[in-house]
Amino acid sequence: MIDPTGSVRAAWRAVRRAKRLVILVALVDGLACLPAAIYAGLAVHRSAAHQTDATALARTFDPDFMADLRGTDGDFDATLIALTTSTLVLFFFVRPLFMGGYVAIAARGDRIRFDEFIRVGGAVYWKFLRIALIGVVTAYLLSLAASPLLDYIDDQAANFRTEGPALTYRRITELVVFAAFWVLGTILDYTRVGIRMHRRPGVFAELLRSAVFVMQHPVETLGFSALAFGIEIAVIWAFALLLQAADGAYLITSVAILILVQILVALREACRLFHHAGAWRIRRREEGGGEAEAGRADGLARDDLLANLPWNG
Amino acid sequence: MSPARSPPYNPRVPRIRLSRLSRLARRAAIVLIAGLFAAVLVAPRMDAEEEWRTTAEVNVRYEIEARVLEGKGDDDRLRIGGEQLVVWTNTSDEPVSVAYLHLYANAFRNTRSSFLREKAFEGWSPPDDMQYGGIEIRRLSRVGFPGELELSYVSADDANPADRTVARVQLDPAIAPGGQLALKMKFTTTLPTIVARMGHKDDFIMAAQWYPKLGRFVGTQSTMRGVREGWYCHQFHRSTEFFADYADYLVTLHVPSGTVTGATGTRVSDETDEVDFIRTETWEAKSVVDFAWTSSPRYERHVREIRPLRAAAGLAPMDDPVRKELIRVAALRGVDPESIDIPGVWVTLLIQPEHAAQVDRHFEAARVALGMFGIWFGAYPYDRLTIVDPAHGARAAGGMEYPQLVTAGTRNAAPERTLRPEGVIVHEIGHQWFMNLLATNEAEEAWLDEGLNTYFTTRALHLAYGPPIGEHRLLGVPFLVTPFFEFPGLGAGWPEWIDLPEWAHPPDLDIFTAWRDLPPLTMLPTQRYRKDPMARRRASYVRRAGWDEMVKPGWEFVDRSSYGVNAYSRPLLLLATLRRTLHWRLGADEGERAFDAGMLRYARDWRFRHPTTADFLAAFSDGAGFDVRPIVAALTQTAGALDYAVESIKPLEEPELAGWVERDGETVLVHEDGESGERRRGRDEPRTAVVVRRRGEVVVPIRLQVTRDSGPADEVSWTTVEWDGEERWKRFVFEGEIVAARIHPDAEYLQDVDRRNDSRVVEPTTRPGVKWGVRFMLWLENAALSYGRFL
Repeated sequence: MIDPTGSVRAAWRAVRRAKRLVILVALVDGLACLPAAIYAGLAVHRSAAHQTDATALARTFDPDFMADLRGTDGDFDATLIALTTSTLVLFFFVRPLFMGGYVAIAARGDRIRFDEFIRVGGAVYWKFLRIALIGVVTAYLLSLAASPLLDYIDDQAANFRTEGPALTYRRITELVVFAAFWVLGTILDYTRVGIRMHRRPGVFAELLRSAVFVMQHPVETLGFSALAFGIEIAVIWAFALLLQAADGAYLITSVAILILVQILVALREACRLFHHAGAWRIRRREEGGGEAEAGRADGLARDDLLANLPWNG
Repeated sequence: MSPARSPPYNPRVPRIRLSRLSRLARRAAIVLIAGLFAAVLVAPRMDAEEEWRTTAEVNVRYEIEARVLEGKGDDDRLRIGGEQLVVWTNTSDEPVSVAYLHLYANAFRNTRSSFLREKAFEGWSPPDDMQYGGIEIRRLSRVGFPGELELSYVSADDANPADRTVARVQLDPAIAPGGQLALKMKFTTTLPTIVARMGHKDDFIMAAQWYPKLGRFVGTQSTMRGVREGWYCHQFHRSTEFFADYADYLVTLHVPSGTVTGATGTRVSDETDEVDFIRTETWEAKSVVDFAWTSSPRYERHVREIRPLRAAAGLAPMDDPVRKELIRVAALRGVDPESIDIPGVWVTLLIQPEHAAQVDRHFEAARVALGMFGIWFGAYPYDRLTIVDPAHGARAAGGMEYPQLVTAGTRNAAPERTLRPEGVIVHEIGHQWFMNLLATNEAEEAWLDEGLNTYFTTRALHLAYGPPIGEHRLLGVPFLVTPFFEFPGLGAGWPEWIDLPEWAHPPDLDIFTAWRDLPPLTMLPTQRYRKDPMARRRASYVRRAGWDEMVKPGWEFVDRSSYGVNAYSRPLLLLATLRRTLHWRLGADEGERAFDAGMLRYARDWRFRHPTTADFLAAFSDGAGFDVRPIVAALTQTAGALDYAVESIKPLEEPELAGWVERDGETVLVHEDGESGERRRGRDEPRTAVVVRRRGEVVVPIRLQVTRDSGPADEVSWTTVEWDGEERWKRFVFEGEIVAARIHPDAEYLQDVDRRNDSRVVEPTTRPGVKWGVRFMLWLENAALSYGRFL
């Protein structure tokens, strides 16, 4: 049984039907990053454009030039850090909207328009924002909780007689911590699905239910999450090779890279949608939805996606 | 492994070697040599006829018997119990009534020693299982005199009462000029956890600065800083190294059998007591400034005779970088390459077993270093050299130089193109010249050893290996890429400006950083420098320019970073300036010859001596035939910045002639519309003004180049003008339309703190801005998605 729950098939179908939406979302991601990227580009332009070896500076990364760009006052780094932080904050506030849309696509199992996508996302925005906030706080606390473990392993590793086992211990420990983040991310995805599926308002209660659900069905939930994660890593790897090959100093190569970047971002967004759609299918099936396809088994009509959400009155 | 053939100790010097010649050929050779000799006499800077010093004037002899003592019961500390006889000859012309001793190991006695206190100021805190060390002289007597001598501790540099790294001994009667002082002492050195250079990690021992060592007597009339009662004997500081007389050593070590040892000098005897499991080795070293040793049961010992000009089988090929450099230098000096003799050296490599795959790389780096430095500064005069690969967890012992013994350090995953460990091996072996053979004052003039050595290390590595590849290491995995921008945050170093208590800092997680930054995707494979190997060191200098003068005592720099910049990077840039200025002033060939001659003169005149900055500059200027002191003074005696800029390139358009003008003896009104038939001057002969501005405080002569051609900088023709650089700005006017201008065309002033304004083109290009803007967007979008994956 390659796909015992039918989740892969359902997720794939959801992604196929939402191609345009995913591309639009990637475009919005790109727009959010544009101010910081424009600043970086302008800063480089101001420093390099009038130099006699400007083309060489475009062709290869020059640490000496970067030293001058950063300068002694650190303005470039400070500004870029501020802009990057702003972009990440903006992302944080925009993501719940998109996640709401992804869950809606998963629920519908059919094409939805962009305005529906936004409206459905908006309908669950505050709930999903709360989930994201809980995610940030939990991830932070998780990392604090991992600190003593990491320190302990560091101390132990330093006492090893050779570097190999010391590195192995560190890698395994970091893998464990990273896996904890990944499980947390998976639970949060199931929480979003659960809130939308069951239309229950309590975020904390749903978070707990989802955690229990994931723990009760580790093979299906974590297995599918690992699959989505694996696909994302494979996509990144493939594009890494492509982007390195496309690297160059000319405007046309820069434009090509920009297009490749947006395709990659769209594919990574598709992976998120893939996971949400699969999660919907798994949760629906395990919680009594039968073998029906994602979204269709609940018998919701089109308008139902936008109505009957108790927290919206 | 032991060498098949071990030559006796024999300090070597470069010598002229004649191959077997027929009688006729011999006569011809004699005539030729006589001619060459005459030419040498005529040429004022060709010094091949002058002798190289073969040994130092030694006035100290140490005889030490040392035993490794393991703790008993819960005491797991390692100690070295020693008995030492020091015989010092008063070579001065004044009586000496006190002696000063360095007790370097006391730097690790407690956290209030000057060394650890200064280290703590940098943010260092001792590890939980820190074992403190120290050295205690248990008995001190003067041979030939009854009773024991008393020690007192002196902290002249910083008046720190907790520092015990310098001790004073009163001598009565005084040592007359020419007389000898023989001190006999028993001491115990407790080896600390390795936090810097010396100590132990489990059964790995790095015994450096482990015995009581005499300061240098320089005379009560000496103008050197910090001289007390005629003795130069500074405390041990965080940012200082050492300064000592040349000495002869005879050291007997008693170590547990089964351990592998290495030391300064030559092992003259080796016995193992099978009953007590003690191995006794005796080492002899002559004309060296220090003695260090190491032992560990885990070392793999490899011994090879390294002949820098020979490959594994026969002569090195013509394209071998060492051989090519030999031919180049011989041509510069006008001598036969065969006459520059670089003899073989028995190199012992003590390497950790997990690094065994890198044995050949270690030996090749040693070959490059012994070859290049031997060609440039005269052959390595000893027949033995030991390279130590410190144990895991003892990296702080690595990257250090001692006479005939250097510590390197490597990692399991060490891609060849990153030049790790090659860089550190070549650098530390380079110190055999710039520390031992040219025994400068490392405490107060660190640039003379670290700086000169860094410059020539960089050159040697560039010639032998080419530009190294950038490396970004995460979880021990070396990604051969460089980030455009490093963002702090979870897993990547918490930003200092977010003031959180220590417990609230999220940990650094390499795996999270790898997931966020996706090195193969967002970073680029790059070289650590594009064309100019010296430019690599600019970054650190630019960050710290303007804080300190280059030459000053190590403990008087504002911080460790400033010390590092002024000891390593800034002197490297200075040497680059000297070489390129000579090229500029004398022409490329003659300039290169002058640079080589200057360095050779310094290396030869001061071999086995103690040169100062003034000695270096005098010898270099004399050898090069060009006084470099004004340039050096401008670039080193101030903390001010050097920054010249091409401010603008503008066409000089004279206004249309209009108004009252004298013509044919009459005053006529000329209108702008050209009614009078006047033509604007320069309309057919455009002129261009280039303004160069001095933005910094440092004044140096500069070159301005302009071109009227469009195209790559290397392919167009440039017109050069010179300027003394004194004024705040200067306008240069050129006939024709100038499309580009640049200053420092041969990067003669890498000290220029902003090279972005060193050139200017009239027509800018958007390529760099677009390229790096898009690259940054690639990182940012993916970083945001990676963060978002968990939310």
